[in-house]
Amino acid sequence: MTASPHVIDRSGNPLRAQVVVIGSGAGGALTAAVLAERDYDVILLEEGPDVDTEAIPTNSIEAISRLYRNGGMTPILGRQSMAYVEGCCVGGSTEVNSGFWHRLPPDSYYRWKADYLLDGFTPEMMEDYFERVEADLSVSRSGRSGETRGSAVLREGIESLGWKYEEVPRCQKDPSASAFGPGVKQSMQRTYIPRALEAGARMIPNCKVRKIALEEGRAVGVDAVVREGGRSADWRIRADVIFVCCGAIQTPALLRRSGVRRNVGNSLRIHPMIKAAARFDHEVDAYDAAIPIYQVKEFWPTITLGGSVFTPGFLAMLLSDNWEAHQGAMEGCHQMGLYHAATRGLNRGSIRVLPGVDEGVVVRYRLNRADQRNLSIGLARLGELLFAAGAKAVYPSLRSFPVLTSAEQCRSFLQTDIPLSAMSLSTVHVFSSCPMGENPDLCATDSFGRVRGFENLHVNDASLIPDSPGVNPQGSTMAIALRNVEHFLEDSERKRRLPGRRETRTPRADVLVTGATGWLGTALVETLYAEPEAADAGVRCLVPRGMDASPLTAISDRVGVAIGDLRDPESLRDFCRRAEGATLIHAAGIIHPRRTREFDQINVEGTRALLSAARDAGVKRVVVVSSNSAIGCNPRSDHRFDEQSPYDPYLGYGRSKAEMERIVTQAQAGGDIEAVIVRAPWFYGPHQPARQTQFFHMIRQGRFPILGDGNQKRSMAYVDNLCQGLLLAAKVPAAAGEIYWIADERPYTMNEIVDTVEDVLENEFGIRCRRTRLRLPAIVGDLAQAADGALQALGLYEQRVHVLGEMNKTIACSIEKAKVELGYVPRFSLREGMVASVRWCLENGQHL
Amino acid sequence: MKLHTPRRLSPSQRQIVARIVGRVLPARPCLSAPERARVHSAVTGFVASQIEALPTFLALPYRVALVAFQLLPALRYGRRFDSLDDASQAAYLTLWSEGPLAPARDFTKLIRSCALLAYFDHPDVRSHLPMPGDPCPMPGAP
Repeated sequence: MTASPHVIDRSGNPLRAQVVVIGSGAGGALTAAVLAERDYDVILLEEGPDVDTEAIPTNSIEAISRLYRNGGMTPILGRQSMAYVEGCCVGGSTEVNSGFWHRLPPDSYYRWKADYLLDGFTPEMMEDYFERVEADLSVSRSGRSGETRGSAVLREGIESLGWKYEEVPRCQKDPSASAFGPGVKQSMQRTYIPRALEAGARMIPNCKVRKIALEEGRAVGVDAVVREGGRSADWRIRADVIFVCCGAIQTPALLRRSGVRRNVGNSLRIHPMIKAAARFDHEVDAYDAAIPIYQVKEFWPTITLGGSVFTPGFLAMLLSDNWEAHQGAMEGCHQMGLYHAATRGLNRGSIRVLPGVDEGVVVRYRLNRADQRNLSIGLARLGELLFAAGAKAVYPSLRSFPVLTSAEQCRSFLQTDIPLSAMSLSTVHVFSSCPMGENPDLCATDSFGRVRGFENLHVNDASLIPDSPGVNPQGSTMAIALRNVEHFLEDSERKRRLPGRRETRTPRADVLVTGATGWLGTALVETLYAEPEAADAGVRCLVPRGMDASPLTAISDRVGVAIGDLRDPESLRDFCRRAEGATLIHAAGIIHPRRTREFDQINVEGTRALLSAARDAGVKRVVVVSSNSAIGCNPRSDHRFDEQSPYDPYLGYGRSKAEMERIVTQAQAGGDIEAVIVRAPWFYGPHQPARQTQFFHMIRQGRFPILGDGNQKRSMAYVDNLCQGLLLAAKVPAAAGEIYWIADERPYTMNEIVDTVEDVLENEFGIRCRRTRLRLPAIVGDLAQAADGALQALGLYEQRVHVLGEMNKTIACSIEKAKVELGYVPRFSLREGMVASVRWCLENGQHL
Repeated sequence: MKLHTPRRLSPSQRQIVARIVGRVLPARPCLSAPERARVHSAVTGFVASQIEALPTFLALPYRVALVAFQLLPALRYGRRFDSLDDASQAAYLTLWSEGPLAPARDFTKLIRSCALLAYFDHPDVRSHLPMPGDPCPMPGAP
C-alpha cells in the first residue's frame, strides 16, 4: 500500500475535517470510502503502519511481527487465557485473515429485533447491502475446480459421515487461485482504501488516537499521537463527525478512555476455538496451499468445523503443548494439516482500560460450563471427521494429552468434559462490545451506530453486532457498516435540506444572531420579525450541530441557519460570510457550565473569534449581551448600578463577562466595527430552560429558599423587554461604543418576586401553591458563595451552589441611560411577564 | 497518557532468552554449525521481539519472570540457570513447563511456542523439510 500522495501534509497541524474515521479495517475503510465519494472531507486514521501487505509473505513471522497487534501477543484473560490476533496496519485484520465471507444467518435478525429492539434491520433490508459489498470485494466460491488436496480430503471425510457442509465464499479476485497469492485476496488495501483516497480522503497511518475530545454532548475532535521516523508528536484533529471503527476491542477501549462508558465494553462475544493437527498417510497439500474451503455445518450454530492456516511453524506451535512427546510428528509435516472447531461463545466478556497506559487494554472472557462442553464436543467431532477423512493420528491442542489414534477415542469427549486448564485456545472472531439497538439497557448505540447521548459520534465496526452470529463476522460487519453510513448520509441530507433551502433564499444576511436556539435568541428573532420594517430582513442564526433549528426557521422563510460553534473559528467565518454592513447580535454564552474553563472558552475566546470573523466579513455593528455579574453585587439594597459603576466581577462567570466587555470595547476602539454592550440581569419569559421551570415548581411546593428577610432586591428582565432593548441598541446610531443596562422598569424584592409567581399560579391558572417558604439565614448565601468560589478555584461548577450564593445579594440596576439614549420603555411588568412564562410552560408540557 | 513504545529487553534478559531458546530448539533437521547459529540468532531475535511486544500490563511481570527464571536455580543447584550443565538446564526447564504453577507454565509456553514457530518457518530449516531419513532422528517419530 503506498498512500504517500494522499498522506496528509503534517505541517498542517492542527487539522480539521468534516469527518474523522478512526481505523482502516473492514468498517473504517468502507465508511471512509462511502463518505469521501459523497464529497465529504474525510481524514482516515490508522494506528498501524502503511505497508504493502502483499510484499510480506502471508503468515510469515515477518507478517506476525509487522502486521499484527502486539506481534500477535494479545491475550484474552479468564479461567483459561486465549490467544487473540488482529491486524494492526492499514487495512486492519482484512490484511491478515483468510478472506472468508458469510452472510448473517436469518435467526440473528429476529433475535436482535426481539432482544436489542434493533430497528430497520430485516433480511430483506440487508440483502442489497450484502450484494453491493460482495460485488466490491469480488466475493465468490472456488467450486470443485479450485479445490486443493487438503480441501478434497476434508470434503470426502464430511461426505462419508453424511454431515451438512458448505464451501465458504471468499473475498478473492481469482476463485481458482490460492487466496494468499498476490492480487487475489480483496482486502481493504485492494478495495475501499484506494477508493477513499481516490475520492480525496486523507489518510494518516501510525496515528494512535488516545482520546476523543467531547464537549457538551458532542465530539469535537480527537487527540492523537503520530509516530514518524522514530519520533512521536501529539496532534489534535478537529471534526464535525467522528466514526470509531477500531474493532471490537479497541473501539470500546477508546470510548471508555474518552469517558463514554454506558453499555460500552460490557458484552464482548467471541468464538472460542480449539485446534488439532492430523497426520495422513499421504501428502495433503496443506503445506503452502490455501486454507481448506469447506466448513461443517452439521452442528451449527453451536459448533463449526473447518481447516486452519498451515505452515511448519504453526504445526510446531500446536505440537508445543506436548513437544517432548509429539515432536516426531514434524518428520512428516507434508502429510499433516491443521484444523479447528470453533464454538459460539455463550458468555459475555469485558474490555477495560488501565488508566494512563495506552496499551493497557485488558480483555476478559470467562469460559463457562457450556463453553467447556461445546469445546469438548467440538474437538470430539473434529477428531471423528479427521479419522473419517483418513487421518492416522490426531494431535489435539491439549496439554498433557496423548495422540488420538481412533474416532472412538475422540468420541469419549462427547461424554466427558476436557479440563479447561488443558486447552490451548484461540479466537479470531470478536464482536458485540458496543451493541446497537434501541434497548437502553443493553445498547451502546442506536440502531444505526450513533453513540447514545452524542449527536455526532458513531461506531461502525464489529463492535455493533449485538451478539454472536455464529459465523465469521466480516460480512455482517461490512454490510452493517454500509447500511449505517448510508443512513448517516440520508439523515445529514435531511437535516441539511431544511436550513440549506432557506439559506439559499437569503444569500445575504442583514442580521446575524448567535445563541438563537436559546431562551433569549428565539424571542429575539420573533421580536425582530414582529417589527413591520424588518419583515424583509435576512436573519442568519448560528446553531450548534445537533440543535433543533426548526423553531427558528418556522418564524420566517427569511431565517437562515449556519451550523457552527463559538469554539470553532472556521464555522464562525462561515456564519459571517456575505454579511457586509449587517448587525450581529451576540446572545450566545455560557452561564452554568460543567467546568469553569468553559467560561473562558465560550464567553471570552468565543467572543474574540466571533468579533474577528465579523470584522473580516464587514459586519457594521455588534450588539453583545453581557451580564450584571461583570459588575458584581450592590453594596446596599437601595443602591443601583449604572453604566459608570466599576467592574467587580462575581466569580468565574463575572470575570469572563468582564473580560468579554473589555474585548468588545477594544474592538470598538479599533474603529473597524461598532460595538454596543447590553447588560442584562436575571431574565424570564417563554422558551425558558428547565432551571427556570424548577423555580416555579419550588415556589408552588413552598420550598423556595428566602435568605434573610427577603427584602434584597433583584433587577429582572422580561425577554420581550430585553429584546426591545437589544433591537434599539442595534438601530440607534448614537449607541455605538456605549454600554446599557436593560431590565424591567424597577427592581423587585425577593419576597415580591415569589409573591407574584404564587399570585399568577393561583389566580391566573388555578394552580394551588403551598404559600410557604424555605426560610434560611442570610449567612447561608455567604457560605454558598464561599463554597462556590472554592469549587470554581478547582475548576468545578455546581449550579445550585452558585444560585444559592446569589440569593442573599442585591443585584439591581438603573435603566435611565437606556431610556434616555435609546428610547427604551419596558412594556411588560413582572406580573405580565410571569403570566406569559407560566402560560408557555403549561402549553409546552412543562411540569410545574 | 504515555505512548506505548516497546521497551527493548536488556542484554542480560536477551541472553536468558537465548539460553532458553537454545534449550527448546530441536536438533532436527540437521543443520550445519553456521546455519544453526544463524537460525538460533534469528529465533532468539523473534522471541525477544515478541516479549517486547507484549501489552504493557504483561510486559513487566514477564520481565520479572525472566529474572526469576535465571536466578531461582541458585536455590536448588547453587548456580544460575546459564551456569547449569545441560541435564540440569533441561530438568529445570521441565520443572517450569510441566509443573503445577500455571504462570510458570505460561512463561515457558510463550518462549517455546514462539521459538518453534520461528524455527520451523525459518528459510534455512524449511529448506530441509520434510525430514524423513534425516540422520538426527526426533524422539517419538512415528
